[in-house]
Amino acid sequence: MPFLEVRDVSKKFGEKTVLKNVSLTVNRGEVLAIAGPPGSGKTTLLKIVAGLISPTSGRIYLNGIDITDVPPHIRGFSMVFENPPVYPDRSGYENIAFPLKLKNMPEAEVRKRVYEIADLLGIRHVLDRKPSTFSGGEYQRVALARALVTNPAVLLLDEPLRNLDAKIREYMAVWLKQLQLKIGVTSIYSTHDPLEALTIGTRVAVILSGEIKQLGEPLTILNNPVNLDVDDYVSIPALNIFKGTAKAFRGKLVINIDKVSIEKNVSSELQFEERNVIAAIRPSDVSVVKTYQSGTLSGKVELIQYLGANALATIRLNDIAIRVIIPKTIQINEGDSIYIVLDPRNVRVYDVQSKQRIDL
Amino acid sequence: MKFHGTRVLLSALKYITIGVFILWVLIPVAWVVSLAFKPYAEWRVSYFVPKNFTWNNFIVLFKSEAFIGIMGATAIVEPVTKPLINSLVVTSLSTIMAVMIGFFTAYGASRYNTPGPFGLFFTLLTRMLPPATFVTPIMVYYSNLKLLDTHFSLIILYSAVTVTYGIWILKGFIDAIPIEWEEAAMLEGATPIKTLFKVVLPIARPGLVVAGLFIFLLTWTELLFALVLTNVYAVTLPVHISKYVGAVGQLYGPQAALALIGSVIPIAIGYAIQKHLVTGFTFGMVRG
Amino acid sequence: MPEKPPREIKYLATLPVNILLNAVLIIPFAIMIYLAFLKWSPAMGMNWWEAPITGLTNFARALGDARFITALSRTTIYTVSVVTIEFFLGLALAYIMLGDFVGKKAAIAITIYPLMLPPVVVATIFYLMFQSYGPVNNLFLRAIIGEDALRIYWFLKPDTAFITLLIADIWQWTPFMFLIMYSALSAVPKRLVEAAEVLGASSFTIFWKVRLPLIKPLIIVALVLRGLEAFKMFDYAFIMTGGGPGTTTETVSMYIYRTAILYTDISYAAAMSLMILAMIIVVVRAFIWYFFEKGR
Repeated sequence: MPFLEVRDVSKKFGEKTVLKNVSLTVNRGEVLAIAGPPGSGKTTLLKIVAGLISPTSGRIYLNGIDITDVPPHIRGFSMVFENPPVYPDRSGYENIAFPLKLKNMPEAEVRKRVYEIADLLGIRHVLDRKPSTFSGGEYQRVALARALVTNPAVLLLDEPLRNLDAKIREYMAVWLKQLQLKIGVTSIYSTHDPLEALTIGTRVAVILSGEIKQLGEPLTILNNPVNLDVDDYVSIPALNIFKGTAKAFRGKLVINIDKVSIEKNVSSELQFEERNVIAAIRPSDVSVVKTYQSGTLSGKVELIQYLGANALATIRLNDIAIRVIIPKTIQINEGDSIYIVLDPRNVRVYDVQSKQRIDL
Repeated sequence: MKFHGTRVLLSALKYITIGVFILWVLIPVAWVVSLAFKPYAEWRVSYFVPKNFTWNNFIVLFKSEAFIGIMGATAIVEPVTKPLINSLVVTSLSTIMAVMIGFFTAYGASRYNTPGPFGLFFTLLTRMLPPATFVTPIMVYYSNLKLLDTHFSLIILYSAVTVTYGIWILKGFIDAIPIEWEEAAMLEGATPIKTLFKVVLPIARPGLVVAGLFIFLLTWTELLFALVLTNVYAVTLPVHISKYVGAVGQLYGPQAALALIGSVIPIAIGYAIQKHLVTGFTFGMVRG
Repeated sequence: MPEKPPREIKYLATLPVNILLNAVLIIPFAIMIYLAFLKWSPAMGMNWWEAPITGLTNFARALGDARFITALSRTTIYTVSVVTIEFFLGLALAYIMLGDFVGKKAAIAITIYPLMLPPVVVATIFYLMFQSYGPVNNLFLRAIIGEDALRIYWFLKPDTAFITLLIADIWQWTPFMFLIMYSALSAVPKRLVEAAEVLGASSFTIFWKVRLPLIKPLIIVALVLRGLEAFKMFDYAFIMTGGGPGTTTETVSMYIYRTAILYTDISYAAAMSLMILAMIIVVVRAFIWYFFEKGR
């Protein structure tokens, strides 16, 4: 039985539907990362799980028990918000001790727990200082400590790293993952950054426009998205998307984009007539060679964007423009002729209407 | 060359104007300060610095004795100790009341929009209308309730009249506190009331101080209602000051001394909350 | 946060304020409305609720009362004069103080302190200033017109008495207008100012065409607030001139005060109060309509 289950939850604010039939499960001790662009409903979902908002329909279960109508503070969850509750008028110690004092815990026990968690998070040194003296990272960790000091059944984090600057964010994401492994608290972590989600989550749920489009392990989501929107969302740099046609016959899928034809091995049960499709491939899944080899496609370099470790080149093949990641080792200039190597296994095909995957 | 010259001229003009204005602002007070320390003989001279510096004017304020006025008329004024104490007591208590009630109301207004749109506007109304227009019924009302010349009547009246400022100033402060901070506490098991007192109140404390000081300033200086509602027992400082005009004879020295005494607290408060004066006076519509 | 407040919070947030305002202000206000339609004075020996209702006689009387009408017009003239003068002085001062200069902080701190003084004290200050042997005569005017200056009795002639009141008000409240304008002008976003500077606008043009229009709503707020306060004026007149000589510097507030307290003509005072209240509400409403809605 899953530890936490969200079953068919929908939420409407007036006329606006923010969440539509959201279902997911979280296993004990794992991190479920919820990834989605701003406005997709992540915060609302988390607040519903926390009990701060009631769902318009749907239920929430903890260990099989229906907790949908249980008030938030009895559920035993903790939440770290975007604007974390680090109160400016009291010290780090008092902030972390706050929830314990609310439960009327004896002073000695409070002290023990606060120190324990402070040591675990490496913030002993801020305990007797006031928040105005904290650095960004210390601030977040105090908020985290406060959330953890009550030994919550589930830890909810709503974009906790959003306000930190990029370098610290990377560090903190890894740090958080290690912390979670050490403590083992069941967590739900929301973020708009797909890569962050893939790093932190044991499993990842991609939420777009209030619906869960895919839920699974990070690698599965990355390599086998079931939906074009998920594929698009998770691809960084942005996905190459082409309109074309395809037909499947006896284990072979033939895709035609403009004058290019690609053949891919698929399951022999897959069979359909020629139809309009959308084909997608990541810039990082395409490679180039400078001289012609059999099976490569000939094209011309149109534009080069430098991305630090490598470059993103836009290459023109007749009527198609395809973006490709070029490693540092290959020197190219705009206007060069170049040859594209496409592994058909990296091409994914989607239905034009439903945007669902059709080449599996 | 000419351009540079104009620049210098404008600059000089600027400093001169500012200087003139500063003089304009300082001279009246300088005169009063000098009067306060001048002996009777020097009350009508034209120079500022007293030749015979004296504390007598201040001392005399606290005693109850007959004065010899300039025309040879005598007059007896009560010592200023009682009005001073009354003012302190009445102002402090009504300020505390106005701030606390204002705080609760502001909290409801900020988080839940409690009295609704009309309600809040109505509180502004209490400041728009001249106190003199309320004097009549208030006098009748208090007189019927046998509340004339009591501290209590002044305290509740002043709270009622200043609570509006409290509400608006505090609402601004409370609005600035992120709602998530309260939600977090409620998630951790705090009841709404507990959240109000253990989270919002402490964090809003600076706002309470500003509101309190501002309201104290306003109440300390109030004359009209005090005139109407007090007589002997609950007389406040402004009323006492008003007695030094005309009938009492021309006791310039003590009058000046009294003016100084009455100004100390307001000026101290004024400078303490300097940054918030504008916000307070304009009900939060203009940020200082 | 739930949309509806929990019960205890709702009570805390609405009951105390309601009780306070009702008990202390609203009930007396209701009483006042009733009183205005009576003919009653405590001297009549009966309680006010026993007094006969006489309808609109008090209101008619007020309309024909020269002293009331004069007080009203005088107070209006006073209000318009001080607000206008304070506005322009305050604006000019704010403009001058906008840029950085040596001693700016101290200068501002000094210019605003008259605001903090109790009006009674300001009245006392100017009462002392305008005495026949006070510095205005003794020091300044004497330098201009010699010994005759000592014989100017400011408070004994209606015109000069009125001027002293104006000066006291302007002295105390110009800093108020200054502070508001200065805050508002300073709050204009830097990039708008810089954009104009880049285009070559002089600092005056920037002030006139960029900053001023942007703070127009705040100016209106300031004018309305100051106007309302000026209209209420009581302290200066009471202390400095006692409404005199005679009743020539009596403001509306003073007249109502005297009618109620000195002459104990309660119901008449109530009627006048109501009329003033009605007038103020109408004027403010019209003002707001004109400046906020007509401008759309």
